[in-house]
Amino acid sequence: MSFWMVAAAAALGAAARYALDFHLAARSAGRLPWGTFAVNVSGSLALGALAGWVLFHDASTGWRVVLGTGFLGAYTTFSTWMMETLGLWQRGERAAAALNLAGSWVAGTAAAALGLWLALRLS
Amino acid sequence: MSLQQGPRVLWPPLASLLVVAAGGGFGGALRYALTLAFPADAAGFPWLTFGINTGGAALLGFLLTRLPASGPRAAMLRLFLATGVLGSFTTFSSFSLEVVELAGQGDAALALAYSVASIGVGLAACAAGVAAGRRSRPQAPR
Repeated sequence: MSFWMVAAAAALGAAARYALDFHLAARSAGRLPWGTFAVNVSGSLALGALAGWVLFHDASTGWRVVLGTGFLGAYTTFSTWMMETLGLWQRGERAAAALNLAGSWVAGTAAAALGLWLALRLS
Repeated sequence: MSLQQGPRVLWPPLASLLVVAAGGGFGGALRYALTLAFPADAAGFPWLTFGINTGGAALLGFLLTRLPASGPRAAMLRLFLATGVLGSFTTFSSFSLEVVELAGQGDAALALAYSVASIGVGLAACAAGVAAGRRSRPQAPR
């Protein structure tokens, strides 16, 4: 898979993340980081499913690279998760910060596991 | 249904999406290049993702603090560098899947250690970036 395909997939993933985050912030008055939570959990579910599919079908790693490393890697974001958690904490929203941290970790890990399981189950 | 003055903007403008996409292509490509240069050992601690995620968090903290809060130029730089490059450079999905894979290999301790390290160091790195950003800002005239 060419390098440019990965870059293009990443560009799309980033745009999708921004669009969804913008949309959810607009709908919810933007105080809580639902956008980042949504992309991170949905992206983890998708990556788990992709990994399961590639594993089962013994597919070339090309798809995992373009869709996984490229699109989903850019669609999800770790740095924004950290920054938003810090921001909540500094604004005195300590409970929200802790929930953002624990909730994203639990939901993201569970989503990846679920995606993997579903892909292997349904293959 | 609430009454509002004027239409509410529910989706970003195309120009902003393109700026984010451009930065995103760059950030994702950089991360991909690193995965080629440093292939991961499936059973070990995912050092590359860890480094990318914590390093990216530090840079984001610095950038968002250093950039002026308002103005069109700062907004454009934020979209390109923060949302675009750094948002795409770091990855949550790889982190989640790696935690699952480590646990699936029977190494729950490593999965937990990786999780705690990523989050702990990630937050510290981000805070350090913010502190450095504050120190580096030009002082307002008295």
